[in-house]
Amino acid sequence: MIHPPLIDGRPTVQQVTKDICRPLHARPGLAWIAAFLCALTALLMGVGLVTYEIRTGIGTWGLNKTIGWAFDITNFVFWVGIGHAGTLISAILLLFRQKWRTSINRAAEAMTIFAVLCAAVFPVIHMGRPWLAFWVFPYPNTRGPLWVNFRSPLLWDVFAISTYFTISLVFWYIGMIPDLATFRDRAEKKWQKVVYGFLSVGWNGSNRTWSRYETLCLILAGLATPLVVSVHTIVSMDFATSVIPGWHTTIFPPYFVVGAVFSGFAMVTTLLIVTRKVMNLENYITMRHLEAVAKVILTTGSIVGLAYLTELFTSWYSGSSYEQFAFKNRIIGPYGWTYVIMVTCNVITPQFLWVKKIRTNIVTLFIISIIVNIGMWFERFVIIMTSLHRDYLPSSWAMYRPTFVEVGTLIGTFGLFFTCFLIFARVLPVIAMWEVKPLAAELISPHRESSHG
Amino acid sequence: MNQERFRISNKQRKFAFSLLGLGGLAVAIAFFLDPQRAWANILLNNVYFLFLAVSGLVFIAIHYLTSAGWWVGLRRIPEAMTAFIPVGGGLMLLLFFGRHSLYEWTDTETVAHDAVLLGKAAYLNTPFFFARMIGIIAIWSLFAMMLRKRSIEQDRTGGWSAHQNLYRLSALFLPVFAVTLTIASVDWLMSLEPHWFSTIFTFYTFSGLFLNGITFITLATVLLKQRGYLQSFLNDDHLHDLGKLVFAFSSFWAYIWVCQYLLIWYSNIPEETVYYHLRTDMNWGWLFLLNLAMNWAIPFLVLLPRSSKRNPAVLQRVCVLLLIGHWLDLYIMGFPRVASLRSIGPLEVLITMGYAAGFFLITGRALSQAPLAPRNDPYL
Repeated sequence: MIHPPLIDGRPTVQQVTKDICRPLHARPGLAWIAAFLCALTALLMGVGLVTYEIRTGIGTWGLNKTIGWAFDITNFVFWVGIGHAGTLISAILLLFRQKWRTSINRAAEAMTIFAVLCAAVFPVIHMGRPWLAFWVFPYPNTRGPLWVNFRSPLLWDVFAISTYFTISLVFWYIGMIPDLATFRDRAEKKWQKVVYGFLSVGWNGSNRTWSRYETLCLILAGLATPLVVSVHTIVSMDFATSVIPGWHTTIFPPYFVVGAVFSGFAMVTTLLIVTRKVMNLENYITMRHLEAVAKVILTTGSIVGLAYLTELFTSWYSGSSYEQFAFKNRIIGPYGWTYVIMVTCNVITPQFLWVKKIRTNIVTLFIISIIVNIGMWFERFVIIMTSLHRDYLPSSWAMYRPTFVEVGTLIGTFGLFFTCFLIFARVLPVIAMWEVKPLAAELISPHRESSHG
Repeated sequence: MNQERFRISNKQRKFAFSLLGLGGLAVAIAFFLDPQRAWANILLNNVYFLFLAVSGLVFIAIHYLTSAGWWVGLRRIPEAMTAFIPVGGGLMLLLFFGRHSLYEWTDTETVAHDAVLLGKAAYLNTPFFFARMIGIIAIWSLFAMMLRKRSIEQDRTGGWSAHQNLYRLSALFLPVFAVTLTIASVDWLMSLEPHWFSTIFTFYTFSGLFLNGITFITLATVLLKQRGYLQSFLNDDHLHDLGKLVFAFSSFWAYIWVCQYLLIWYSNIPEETVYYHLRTDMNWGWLFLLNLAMNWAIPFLVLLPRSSKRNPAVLQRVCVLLLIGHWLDLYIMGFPRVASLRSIGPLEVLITMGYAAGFFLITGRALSQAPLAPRNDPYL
């Protein structure tokens, strides 16, 4: 078939509403409660460790005079990267009129917001005095002529990420309004009626409302598209504007963006496979969605592989002994094993997705998505750490080992991420009902085609 | 009026052949005046038109792979573009005779006294360079031939399996293309300045190549529609889609441009800034800015409103601007090191016109050899 239906089971439009509004009326299942408790425990542990770290000082981390950036910045880039899938799916795929985004965009956008929150934790605690974090914003102040450094990519990061977070939040919320109205209309408890009524801002579903609403979505998508690209571009410039071999390379911006999409889609796969199972949404998040996501993973993984090769070749081709050493050290130095993990997970593993049987099998897809998540964490570690630990002066060469505080903080952000996601899955529409319903209606009366954008 | 097949009129053919003749004459004059300039011109136009031809292949492969349906009506245009690949490839091989005028590293004497070049000699040496070139051209020609053949077969046989074949071939082509284009850009363009390096360079050539391909396809679509072809297959929505692609990839080109420039400017490492130092001096600076205006600023502002993307007259002008803009982009990439003086004169214009005429004759012939709109495509 040319375009096989995206959703299974031929649900009626009413059935779609029923299935997706189920959490509104039902009590949480055992699996949800167990998962929530685990996530909450991890989160609380993270909060405890961060409190300890702030009271004691950054010395509780494994950093030293040579390696000033390691675990925390790795985690920061890792989480920001994960945050890329959501807005890519909702904005760029909307502009490309890809209908397969409809069942997965809501959850992916939620994931984006939570991932960016997790990312923000790291630079803030790395400041050492997080209660002064607002100093990063440029505003007239009483600290004399002390202004933020507009030439620093770290400041650009503040702007890029806060803008991205804001627009993603607005996009996510705006996209939910019609569904929140459905929740409002179906709510039985008083507090639900009040909360969803407030959140749905008087949505009435009239023709004019819809027409304006869809225009707004398109405009937001147009604005969000350059933002998706800008965020990891700026993140990459934290490294690439330096003169450190292994950090300074012009391919970084597009390569970071592609890597971010790669890791984001891997996380989307992991989450969706669990969500569809736990929440009985197999008819809505189908194999066609997962296969499309798998193809994105294969494409971006291969581009990332090409970027690794380009970097490696150019370090040799450059004729610069510093460049050559940086890469030699990366591969056969004391941290060579991390490079091996990175290449195995990010370049070799996704190649299995060429096989249709593997990319349409839930189990293999799940395993590959986990491997890619791990690989992309290591990629950031390799880039950040191995470029730093042996610098120009051999007397200051050093090794780095994370402390339990650092590892615990990373686990804590996973706790934050899953706590937020699990709450989201209980109290908000996980799937965009208003976008899936036309697909369901098309299945019942196939002559209804949506209009041209 | 809805014509089935494209036809080059006699008037057009005569005009094209006279341009081709003039171009040949200009090459001869250039050789007489300044062989180095002649070779620089040949390299520039070879790369321009060969990349343009290959961009058709990339366009086709991406659309098959993404199971796109909107583009079927205009598929013959990128297919016809790929017919130029063997010819463009043959012209590339002529560079063998001009290698000493273009590539500093081909001179063993210079290399022997230059530690950096000596270090690269394992890669940058004449036999290996041309072996790679032959390999790349052979691979591109082969894929172009196979895709074209299967696509025309599908007109007759139709059905899903023909489509699946094309789909698989496209999936195979794209990774091969990524690697071959990387090699081609490093070899043909980056090694003109063999001491300089930039990892984003392939992405940069790709962004220009793909933008130029989409621009050409858009222009061809507009012109064909104006002349009454493909009326029942393409409407304003197709133009709108093409306009959006031109808009998007013009911005993509600008993005890659900024990434390369900003990072090199910011880090200020002598080995790297030498590239932009040369290109932003008194002699070349205004072309440097003009490049940004032609390839991004003007197209961006003009194509921003919805109405201009649906207006054939506007699209046509923007496309012409972009096609010239891309030529300028390659000129700035290639010329400053090879031809010591800035020189866009009658010779450059005539030689490029000659190439364009050749490109027109070959793609036009390929376009006329098959029905202009594909038949029996499952997506029709």
